[in-house]
Amino acid sequence: MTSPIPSAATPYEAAPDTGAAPPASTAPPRGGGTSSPGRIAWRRFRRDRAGVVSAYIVLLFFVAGIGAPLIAKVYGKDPYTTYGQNQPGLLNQFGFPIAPNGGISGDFWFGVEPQLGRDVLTLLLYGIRNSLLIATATTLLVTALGITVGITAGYHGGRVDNLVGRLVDILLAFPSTLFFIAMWPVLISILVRPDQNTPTWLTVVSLIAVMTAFGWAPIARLLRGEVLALREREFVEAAKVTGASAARIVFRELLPNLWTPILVQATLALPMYVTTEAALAFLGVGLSDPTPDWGVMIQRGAQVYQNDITYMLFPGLSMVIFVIAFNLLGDSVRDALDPKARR
Amino acid sequence: MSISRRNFVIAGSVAAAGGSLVLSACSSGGGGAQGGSAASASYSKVTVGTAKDSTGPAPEVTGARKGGTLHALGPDDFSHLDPQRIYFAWNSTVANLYVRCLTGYRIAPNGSMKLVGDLATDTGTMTDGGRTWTFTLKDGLKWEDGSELTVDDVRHGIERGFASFTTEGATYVQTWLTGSTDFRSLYKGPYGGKHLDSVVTDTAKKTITFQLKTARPDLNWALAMHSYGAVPVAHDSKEKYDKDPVSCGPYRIKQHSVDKSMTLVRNTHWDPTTDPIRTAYPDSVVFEFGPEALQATDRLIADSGTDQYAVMAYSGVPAERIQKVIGTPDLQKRTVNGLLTGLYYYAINCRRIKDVKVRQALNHAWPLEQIRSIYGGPSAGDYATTVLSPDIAGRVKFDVYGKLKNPRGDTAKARSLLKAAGKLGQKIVYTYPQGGNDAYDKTKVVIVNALKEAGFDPVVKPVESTSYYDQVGQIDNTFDVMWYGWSPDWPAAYTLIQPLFDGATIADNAPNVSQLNVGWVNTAIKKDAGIADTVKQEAAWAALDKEIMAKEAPIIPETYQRRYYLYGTKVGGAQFDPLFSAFLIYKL
Amino acid sequence: MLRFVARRTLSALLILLVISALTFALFYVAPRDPARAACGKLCTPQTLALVRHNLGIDDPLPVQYWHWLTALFVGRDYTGLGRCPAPCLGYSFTNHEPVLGLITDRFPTTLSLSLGSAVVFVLFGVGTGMVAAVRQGRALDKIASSASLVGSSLQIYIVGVVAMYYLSDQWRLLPRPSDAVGFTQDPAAWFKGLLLPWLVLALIFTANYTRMTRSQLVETLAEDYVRTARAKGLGRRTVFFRYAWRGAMGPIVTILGLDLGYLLGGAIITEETFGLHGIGALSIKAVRDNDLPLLLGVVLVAATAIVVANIVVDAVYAVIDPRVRLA
Repeated sequence: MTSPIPSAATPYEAAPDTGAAPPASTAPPRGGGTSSPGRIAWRRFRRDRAGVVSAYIVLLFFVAGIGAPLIAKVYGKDPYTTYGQNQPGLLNQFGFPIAPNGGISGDFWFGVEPQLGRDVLTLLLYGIRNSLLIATATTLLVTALGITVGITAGYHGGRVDNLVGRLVDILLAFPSTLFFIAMWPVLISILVRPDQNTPTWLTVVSLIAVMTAFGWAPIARLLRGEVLALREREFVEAAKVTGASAARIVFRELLPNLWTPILVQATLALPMYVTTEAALAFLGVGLSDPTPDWGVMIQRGAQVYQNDITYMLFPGLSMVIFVIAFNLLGDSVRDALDPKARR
Repeated sequence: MSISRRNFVIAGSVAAAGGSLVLSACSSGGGGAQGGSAASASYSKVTVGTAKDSTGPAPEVTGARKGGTLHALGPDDFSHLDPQRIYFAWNSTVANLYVRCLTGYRIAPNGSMKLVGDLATDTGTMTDGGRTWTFTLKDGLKWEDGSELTVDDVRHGIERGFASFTTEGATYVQTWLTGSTDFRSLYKGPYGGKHLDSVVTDTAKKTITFQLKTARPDLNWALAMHSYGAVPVAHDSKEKYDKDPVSCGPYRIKQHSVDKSMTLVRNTHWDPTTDPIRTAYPDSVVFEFGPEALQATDRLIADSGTDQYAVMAYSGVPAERIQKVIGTPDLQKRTVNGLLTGLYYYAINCRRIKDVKVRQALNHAWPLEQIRSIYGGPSAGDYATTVLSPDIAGRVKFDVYGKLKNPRGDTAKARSLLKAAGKLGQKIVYTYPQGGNDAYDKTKVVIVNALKEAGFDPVVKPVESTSYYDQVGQIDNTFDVMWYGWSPDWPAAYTLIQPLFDGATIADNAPNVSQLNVGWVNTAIKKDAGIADTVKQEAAWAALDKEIMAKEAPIIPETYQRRYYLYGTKVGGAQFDPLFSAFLIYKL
Repeated sequence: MLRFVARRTLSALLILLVISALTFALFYVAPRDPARAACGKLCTPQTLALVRHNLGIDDPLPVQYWHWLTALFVGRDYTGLGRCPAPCLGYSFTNHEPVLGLITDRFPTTLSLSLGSAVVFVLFGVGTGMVAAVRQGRALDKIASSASLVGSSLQIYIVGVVAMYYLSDQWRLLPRPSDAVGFTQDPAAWFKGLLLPWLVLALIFTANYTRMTRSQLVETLAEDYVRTARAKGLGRRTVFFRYAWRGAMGPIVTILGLDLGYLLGGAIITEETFGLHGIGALSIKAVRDNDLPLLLGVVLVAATAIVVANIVVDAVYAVIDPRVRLA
């Protein structure tokens, strides 16, 4: 993912699947044996120091996200109270923290949010929690949808394949970022009764749905190619000859050979959706206050950075660290699963 | 950078950047603008000048030098140049340079304004209790090609306001002349070869008489709007005039490349002795479009090259820089600031919230201080307690709900009012434009907190900023409290109170979003508008202002917003324009 | 080849047609009224109806779309504004300028941003990738590889903002981003204004090229034909540049093409972060102003850039790499 605009529609456009990063599927290591391929990969992974360290970092983020309420309780603050508004002496008349470095103090370890005056640490923890939830759910859905469509198109071929191909082309060429900005508020207004609060879960679900709708195309295209190649292989032909059902061929013959590219794509996708969600928040699409969100914090930070760079640095740096760690992890996973791809 | 644009412009983007602006001619520094020290510019006082005040040349400005080129930086190009299509303030910033109307405002160094005759020798003669108005043109008025400017051209400017393509402009005079808001069905504009019966010119081409259907003692104020600027009959290119207007002011447009730049040079046929308003010191004015407020501020802070001769055309110092600009003495010296004309407020939907006690409770509960601190504290503006803004002639300050004493809001009082009305737990659907100014996403938090504390059940329904005004403008909308703003078209109470509270104006997309429709208010508006004596009229409006707020509470006044502008070291005579909330370019 | 291009062009046109129709339909899903903006402060229903008529949005949707589509090929006459010649994208709702003109006005910024950063990231990325490939497995390779991974993990709206704060505002090392001056007006000022965006974009983009170059070179260096060349006693340099390099170029051209296609279509976040005024900023403006013709215009530009990039990439790929056959 190198595009400066991690558009959900074109998640992998910069690392195109057209043979650029060939997910090896040449030697399907299928079944049996004393040492399963999974175990071999695991052993290989454990030897990769960078991979293990980044795995721990990623784990830390997930633990922090899941445990956010607990941490907040121990720490004694919550991300909703406007401390700066309620207690005098925290924010100056411009609405910025009085203490240096964004108002970091013994009470507020990561400082105070400008203007509303909420606690940055808990805000960040809850933000990470929400962002990871969205990104993980999107990744799972995108992968599932991509697998379904990709395998169907590849296996069926013919008209279905053609139709899917066109759809993928349109989705990939569609300026989705622009679409999000233009359509997001409309979507919400259609879904919610006008005199009801928009429930946060609905925002989250819509966001996941929209990102999924635009995100499945590349993975489907990749898997379709893989399936096309696999379909001609002897073991599939053999299964067909023996009269195996389509379902059996797909689940028993094809899928096991696709796990490597799927896993690789999924590990690439998760950090990408974290950043996509943040990028959309940067443009004002997605969650909004008072719901804490990583991307919204960065967006806010980008507005106030002249007066309070600290507020930009905490969410910004933590996101950079998370994405780097996850990408390193993804690299290691790929190496472990498929050593030929790199060395 | 454009983040500041999103943050600054929306009230702005809505206004400055064009967009779906409905409300204010002079919208806003949004929630962004903030300032530090006490405001230096005081509220301006408006008076009507005499014939002597209306004679040129305009008084010299101390500190200003003649000659040179003035550079003006603005994020977006002007949306219209055709005077009949100009309504919004930022367009008027440039229109001041080439458009002249029958009347205009002479602005003194202390910011006080005087209505004077611009093309006319004085501010007009009213007879028949305000139904008939006569203006006489000055001698020596010329267009940029040297041809004489006659009453035909003035009348043409009025009649073009009826044409099918000038929908953006003001509609007051058209309505008064025909007696109908659907004036286009009665007269189709000057292109069919017919003239308005109600505008009469004499054979000497010197005087023009307006015969109104109703008494309008304030016609001369309305005629100062650029929507009623003169247009030469001989050079009118209809729709295309918007791209290539003809000047009768001190400058003419020499070059214009859309969204990039516009160069104005001296109009040699402009005679300063006919002009009591404009001094026109620089030889040319160059607008540069593109630099966002933040970029412009940084360039002016750096103060190098031509930027020493530069001003911020209409976008103020954004929140990101205000602390620095106000905190640095050298920079603060180079600022002007002032309150934006008009009022930011929250309209209460009186069709849905019928109980006055509930509306009063909302007023008591509203957390003004918290809201303003999100906008940026005292430098972002002053708390509003009245409908009329401080620049309105005859405005009297009052504070029915004790908001100045207790700007954090009195939730206990609100609760007891609610209780008395038996409306504890009243659902309040609050809406604001989302996607433009992020400040409203923040203020919503403190508003909800305050409403909950006061015993309301707040529901927040933000509306996408691009369709915000469409949606709150619907009569049958489902919002109870709506963020809104309104700026007067001339500094008279009528232009605030009538559009906002006259029950007769209620319609889809009409500005009376409170939908207040109370007999005594409607009658009072009609009566006050017809009072011929200015002083008595002003007093009547001020009283009505207070009465509406106390008895009906149809809105929650929020702030009179303040904006700061920066200028280069070599710029002299900089002054805040109290009318259009920008620099007075013609005085620099 | 010709058949390939013709076939792909046809399907590209189909894609663009669908996308424009989709944009058109979706625009009106929202309860928005573009006429409102031109209706003045004291808007009456009569005026609103008049504005709708002036803008041509009082026709049924399919009719509007048909007008828009035909104008694209045969031009269109606008009452009052005159003729808009063939490829006519209509007039902007907000300032009544021809949409095509607005887009071509903004294009230099987008072009400068894209090509300028492309020069930096391709030179830098391919260079480090080559060094890394030659020094495979050594310290330099490891540094280059991990640096590229870090680079590709960065986000423009984080790095860009932080870079502006420290590099331009605090330490004053680089000028603040600006696109006020065009290349033709003052190349030096143009260069200075875009330097920071180029560098930040390059920082993020370079990684992909480093990785790609490295892995492709490593792969081709191990290929039989390269080994044969080396065995024949050809010099290291000759082998590297004449044989290995050629084989590695295909994928690099591919990602370059797609990256450029994306950037030329308007980099919304990049422009938003640095306050530049290219196609990306124009599209935000179109959305914000409910400016349907402008929105359709920028959507079309962005989609065309991506679609064309795809075709060009595939064609070029075939030229470079004789193993690829065009279907």
